[in-house]
This record gives sequence, C-alpha cells and structure tokens, in this order.
Amino acid sequence: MKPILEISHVSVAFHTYRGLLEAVHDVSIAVGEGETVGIVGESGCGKSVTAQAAMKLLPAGTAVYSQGQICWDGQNVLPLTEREMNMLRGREMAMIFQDPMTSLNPVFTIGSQICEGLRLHQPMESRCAEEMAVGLLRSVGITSPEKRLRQYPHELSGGMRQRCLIAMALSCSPRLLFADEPTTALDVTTEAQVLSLLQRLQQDMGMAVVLISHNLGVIARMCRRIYVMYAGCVVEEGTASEIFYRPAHPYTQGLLASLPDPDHPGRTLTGIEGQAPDLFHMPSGCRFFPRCRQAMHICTHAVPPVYTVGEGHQTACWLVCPERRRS
Amino acid sequence: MDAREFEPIDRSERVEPYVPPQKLRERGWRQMKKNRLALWGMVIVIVMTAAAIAGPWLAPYTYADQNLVDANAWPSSAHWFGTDSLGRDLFVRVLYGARISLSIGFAASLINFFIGVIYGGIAGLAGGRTDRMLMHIVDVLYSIPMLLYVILLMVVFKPGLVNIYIALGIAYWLNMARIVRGQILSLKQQEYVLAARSCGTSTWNVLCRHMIPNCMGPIIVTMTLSIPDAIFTEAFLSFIGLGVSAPMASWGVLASEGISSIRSFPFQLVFPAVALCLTMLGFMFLGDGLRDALDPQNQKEAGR
Amino acid sequence: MIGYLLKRLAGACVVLWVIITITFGLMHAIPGGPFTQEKQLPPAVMATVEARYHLNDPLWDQYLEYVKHAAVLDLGPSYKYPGKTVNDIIAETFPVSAELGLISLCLAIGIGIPAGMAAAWYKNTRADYVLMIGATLGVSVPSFIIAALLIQLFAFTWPVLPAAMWKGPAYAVLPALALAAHPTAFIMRLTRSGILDALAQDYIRTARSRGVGEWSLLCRHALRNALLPVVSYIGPLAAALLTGSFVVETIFAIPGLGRHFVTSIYNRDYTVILGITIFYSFLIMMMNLLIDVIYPFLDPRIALKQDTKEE
Repeated sequence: MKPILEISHVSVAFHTYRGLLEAVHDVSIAVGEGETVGIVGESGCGKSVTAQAAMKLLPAGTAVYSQGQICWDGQNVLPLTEREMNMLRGREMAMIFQDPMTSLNPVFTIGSQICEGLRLHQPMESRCAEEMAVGLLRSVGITSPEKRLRQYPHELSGGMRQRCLIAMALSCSPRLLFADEPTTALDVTTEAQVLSLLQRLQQDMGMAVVLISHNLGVIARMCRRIYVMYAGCVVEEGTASEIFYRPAHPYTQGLLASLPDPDHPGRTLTGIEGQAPDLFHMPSGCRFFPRCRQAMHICTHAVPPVYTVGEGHQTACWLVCPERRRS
Repeated sequence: MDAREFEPIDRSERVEPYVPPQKLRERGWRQMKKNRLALWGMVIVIVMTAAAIAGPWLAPYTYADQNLVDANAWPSSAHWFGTDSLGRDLFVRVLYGARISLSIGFAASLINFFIGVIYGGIAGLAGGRTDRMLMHIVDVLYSIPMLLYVILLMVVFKPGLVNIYIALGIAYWLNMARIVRGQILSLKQQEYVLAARSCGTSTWNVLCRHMIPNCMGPIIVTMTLSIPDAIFTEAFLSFIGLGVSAPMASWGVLASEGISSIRSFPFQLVFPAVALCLTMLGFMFLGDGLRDALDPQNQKEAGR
Repeated sequence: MIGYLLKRLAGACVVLWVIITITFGLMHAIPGGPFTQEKQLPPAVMATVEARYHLNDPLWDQYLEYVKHAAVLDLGPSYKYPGKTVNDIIAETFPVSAELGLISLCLAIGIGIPAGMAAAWYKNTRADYVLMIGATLGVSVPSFIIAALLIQLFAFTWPVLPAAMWKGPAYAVLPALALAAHPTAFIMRLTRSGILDALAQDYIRTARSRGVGEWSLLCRHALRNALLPVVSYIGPLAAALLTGSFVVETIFAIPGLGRHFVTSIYNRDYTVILGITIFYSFLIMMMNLLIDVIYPFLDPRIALKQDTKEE
C-alpha cells in the first residue's frame, strides 16, 4: 500500500531560553490511504509535536525542522510556503485537538467557525455553507443543529464542543485526520461516544486517521498499526496484535504491564520506575536505559539501531540485536 | 562486537541525579536577567534613586542658592546643566527634583499599597455581602474622575509635599484594591488552598504561606507601575501650579518653568524633561519585566 | 435591556449625588471665599453680593438648594462672570473641547490599533522595536512637554502651523497631536499584547489547521479577542478626551472646558468647579454605560449581569 503521508527521519527542535531543544528525534511514520494508525507514549514524548509538524502547525519562529522530510502524496511539504500549506490544511489533512474548551474561538458562533473553513476551500453561498454545517453537525450526533449553529462555544458542554471540532475538521472531507488525544478532556461515557463516532466516520468516509493517545486501551480499540514513542523517538512499531502480544521493547512491555487486565483481576500492576528524561539532559546511548530493567553496558553509550523482529514489526532496542543472541 | 557489552549493568551504582525544583523567585530573577529592557529599567531606577539620595550632598550649590550674575547661563563646567532665570544651578535642582519626584512616587504607591491591600484583602477574604458592599463602593468611586479630585484636594489642602503624598495616595488605591481582591478570590478557589485546608492547616497559615506569597507578583507589578503614574500626575499638578511650593522644585515644576523659556534657553526644559522621561521609562520597563517574570501563567486581572 | 438601562441610570443618579456631596463639601472646606480679594470690597457691597448668592445661609440650606437645582439640571450662576450661569459656560466651552477630543480620539484609535497590530505581527523584528520604543516614549513623556516641543518645532523653528488659539482646522493639528500621543501609545501597547496573547491561544492553532490564512488569523480571529481590553479602555478615555485635557488646552490657549476648569480654580469660582466636575463625572458614567452595553456584543461570554438575573 502506498502511504499518503510519509514522515521520514524528521527531527524537530525548538528555540528556548536555554538554547535549542530537540523535541522529536529521527522519527519515521507512514500512514496509508484509509488506514488507522496509533501513536502512543507518555506525555511530553513528542506525539503531538510529530502530528503538528506533519501539518506544519508548529510556531514558525521557534520550531526548526532540522532534518528529514515529510511527504504528502509523495511531495515534500517542508519547503512549501504558508499559502501552499493552507491549500492542504483543512482540505487534505485536518486535526482535532486535545482540549475542546480552548480550541474554539470564544467570540464567534459555532456556525461561523464551521462555515469559515467550508467557504475557504469551496467557494459557496453563505446559506449553502450553513446548510452543509447543519448536515455536518447532525452527522456528528448533535441534536437540533440549527440552534447550535447560532450558539457560542461557552454555551456548549465539553463533549458537544469536541463534536463541533470534529465536524469542523471533517467539513471538507479530508483524506487524513489527526486526532490528538481527542478524548483526554472528556469523561468516560462521552469518551466512548466520541470514539465510536470517529470509528463510524472513518469507515463511512474512508479517510485515514492518526490517533494520538497516552491510553493504550483507546489505541487498541481503534488502530491497526501502532507506533510507540519515548522521549522524542519511535521505539517500536508494529500491528496492534504484534505490539500487544509480542512487545519487543522493554518500554512497551512496561506500558502493557501497567494496564489493568480485566481477565486477571487482582494482579499487581507494575509501573515503569523513574521519570522520562529531561530533554536538555538526554542520556547518551539508548534514551530509555536509565529506566530499563534489562539495560546493558552497550545501552549506555550506543544508540540502538532499528531491528525487524516480525512481520512489519520493528524496534530500536539492543536486546533484540542478533549478535547478542549469538553470544 | 564485545560480548561484555551485552551484560546487564549494575543498577546499584547508579544514583538518580536530584534536580531541585526551581523557586518562583529564582525563575523570576532568571527571566528578568534575560529581559534586557527590564534590566535597563532597573539600572535607571537604581541610579536615579542613588542620585536623588546622595546627589545634593555632593554638589557645591543648594537648590535655593541664587546668583543673579549667573542667571540663564548655558551648561558649562561650573554649572553642568546651566542655571535658571534666578541663577540657580540646574544640575542641583534636577537632583533635588529627583528627590521630590521619586519620593512622591514611592510615598503615593506605598499609601496605595496599604489602603488597597487592606481594603481588597478584607473584601476578598470576607466574601459574601461584605465583599459585594465594599466592591460596590469601589465601583462608585471608580466613576469619579480622579484627576479632578486630586486637583480639588490640592486646592483644599494648599500645595505642599506632604499634601501631594496624601492626595495621590488616597485617590489611586482603587486599582490595587481590585487586584488584591481578585487575586484572593481566585486563590481561595485554588486546589492547593483546598488541599492545605484539607490537611488541617490553620486559616492564618493558609493566608501567610499560600495566599500572600501567591498574591505578591501582581501586587508588586501594580506598585511598580503606579510609581510613574504618581510622578506623572505630580508633573501635571505642578504645571497648573498646584505642585510643591517654591523654592522646592520637582521635575514637573522644573519642566514647566523650562517651557516658558523654551525659545531662548531650551536646556532649561531639556534636562528636567529628560530626567523625568528616563525615570518614567525605567519604571515602566521594570514593571513590564516584572510582570512577565512574576506571572508565569500570565494571569488576567479578575474581572474588568 | 430597558430594565437594565433604567437600573444603571438610577445607579448613576446615586453616584452623581455622592459626587455632588463630596465636591460640595470640598469646595466649602477651602479657606477663603470667591470674593475674598486683595482689595476688600466695601462691606455693604459684600453683604449684597453674599445675600445674592445665599452665601450667608446655613451650609445645609445652601447644599439642599444646590441639590434641588442640580436635579433639574440647573448648575447655578457663576460667581466670577456675573450674568452667566454654569450651564452657559459648559454650553460655550464643551463643543470646543469635544471637537478637539473627537479628533484626538480618532487619531488615537486610527493609529494605535493598526500600529499595535503591526508590532505584534512583526514581533521581535526591528519594526516592532521601533514601534514599541515610540509607544513607550508616548506613555512616558508628559503631554505638556510634547506640546511644548510641537510648538517649538512646527510653530517657531519651522513655522507651518499656528501655536495657539482656536480659529480653524489648522489650529487643531498641534493640540490634537499633543493630546493624542499618550492614548495612542497606550492603545498600541494594549493591542500588541492582546494580539500576541490571542495568537498563542489554542483556537488560533485550530483555525490554522483548517487552512485559515495568516491575514485572516490576525484580522479576524486574533483582533476580535485582542480588542476587548482596548474597548474597555476607550470608555473612560473618550470621556477624558471629550472634556479636554486641562494642560493641553491651557498651553494652546484653547477656550475649552479644561482650561476653564483650571481658570475657575484660580478664581475660586465654586459653582463652576462644582458644575464642571459633575458634568465630567456624568460623561464618564455615560461612556462606561455605553461600553457596558456594547461589550456583550463583542464578547458573548459576558452577559449584562442584571439582565440575566431578571429573566
């Protein structure tokens, strides 16, 4: 399958008052047409930065794309101008953000915010846009959409606002949707509704979805392929079943061990000791070794290469190094 | 590759490096150091204050020494800033003006601070009906044109240094009261105050250890920015003849004296005006820098 | 809406009464009356004058009398200009001040907001620094110094504009500039920080992710939010500008309300001082009311408070 989005060896850094800070290091991610891909990792591991980098949404003055390329349909988007990017944004790829409370402009009505995006990409009468907006709101399960159109964001609940954001993102039928922790700010029942809504829309519209979450349960339910990120790097990628049943990287294993398992109630949950490293004091060698129970001498000074451990299943860990198996 | 490389490392050797969390004060100070404008502001303020305190002692003239032979002399080595129409040394008068203008700024903002913190603190802490009543009074006073009242007060009190302190101090505390009250109200709802309460911390301790330190940022910023306001207002008062009485002179008095002779002796305006504007700039840069440094979340003022 | 307005107007009346009381008290606390002069008037004349203005009545009666007249918008006679009432004086001088003030207000808004937007847009570039240094100078130089410099430059060194008086459009240029300098700079700073604040918000990122262009981001999404603090500053500012700055009018010898206020202080013309103070307070309150009424249209999160309670 030919990927529509291909992020290859991308590093992103930010100018901060303490100097250049690398938030994402040498990340490669590919998304095929109509595919659902999950990115999982702790907060601060660079998931959102990766997604925003793909749409070039990072603040232009402070973010630096130091290496690699991001290809949309085979074309590298990094050299594109802001104007050219705006042709892609919204129409080809769209994004849903984490916090529905702050992601809507408080001084415009829901309707005007949806219609703005619609009319931007397909010139049309404002009445026509409004009709489309009503249809969109209905399709994301909002009752009495005509009324909601005239309301302001602060008049709606969090779940409702997230649905509006989804409607907004879907307005131009994008081919790829980034969902950046779409349910983190919502309560559990709303979370389930929003997830199944996303799933349904994805099947109906045949778009690709990149789902970003720190919640393995959410990822497992939705995604066919999974990328595990740690401290700005992809440490393991593979199909959902490979990741869940044959995790190769100690970090993935740790993540899975910290999940409660309904089949084995009473099992002690084991977390991963320690904290994610400070991005300014990145450990040499493998970034995970200070917290890794199976760390070896080599991990302290050499960056692990990517090894293939199964069908479409790769990991960056010295444990699976063939030479180690031999010795 | 060396087989030993693949042996597990000995965990017991490794000690997690402990990085102490940064205090707000330290972070604030570091932020300030980054902000060059704010540093310059601080330098100006310190230099001006030092000059105001020490300057007049070191100078060979006093602010009232008249020497009609030397009247309206242009700047020279004897009189660095020249002399005024009565032959008084302008450099010394500007230094004395610094004393008066700065003392007005500091005194007025101190009075604002005390009234505002007590008033706003009571309103915020008491809450309920007391709060509503106190704040209603503030709202009423807000719609009174304060500059007019300072002028009226000065007319009633007779021009004079102490009277300026008082008039400015009792006219401009409203803003401080609002900010303190807003801070206290929002702090009262903060989780960490609730958390402290739920641990059984006494009200007094909550106040001293949690609330006051967290209020200090906006209060200091407001105070810093109210100093140039007071200096400014005094300059206006001086201009309409309601400032300090002669032969004392604030920068405002000096500048308005200078305006009358701007065509023949422009230096008589330039020096006091530059001193005044520099100080205003200094306080403003310092205040802006403090705001950026002490308000990491960039909290908005509560209410409008 | 009407209920809200009525309530606010009733509140304004109470505030005005408080202001009248305070000002009246202050006026009569001033030692020396309007007719104490270096050259004593003959006692007989003095007595007639005092009787004419009820100066010998008990203070309480004078106060009641004043409030009674003020309630029907009669601010009494002037002490210094016999035959003129305070109403006459305000009617004569206010239009002049209002004209000057309106020009300055338009200048302040018309220059301040676009300049603030430009500074925010070119943040941390040389253009931003130049604009912000200008703005900071504008806030830190007192208007009488600006006025003096303007006169020196454009009336004497390079005589293109008149230095004083009020006789036509050319006479308005310098005073309007001097008066507008401070508010322009302030609006510029407010706009710049408001826009920068808004541009860092999540909703701007949302809009960008939908392909909204940069210009539209700035002028539509950010500006709308950034203008809120500017609007609440413009209320009292408008009142202050419309009634004229005492200082600028005095320097330029403009026969406006502000200059008259200063003169009446020298003259101890109590009724004029009282009247102008009341008029000015009234104007401030009306401006605040106006701002409060239009504010909900700008910021939908804020409802007219009393209005919602009644529903």
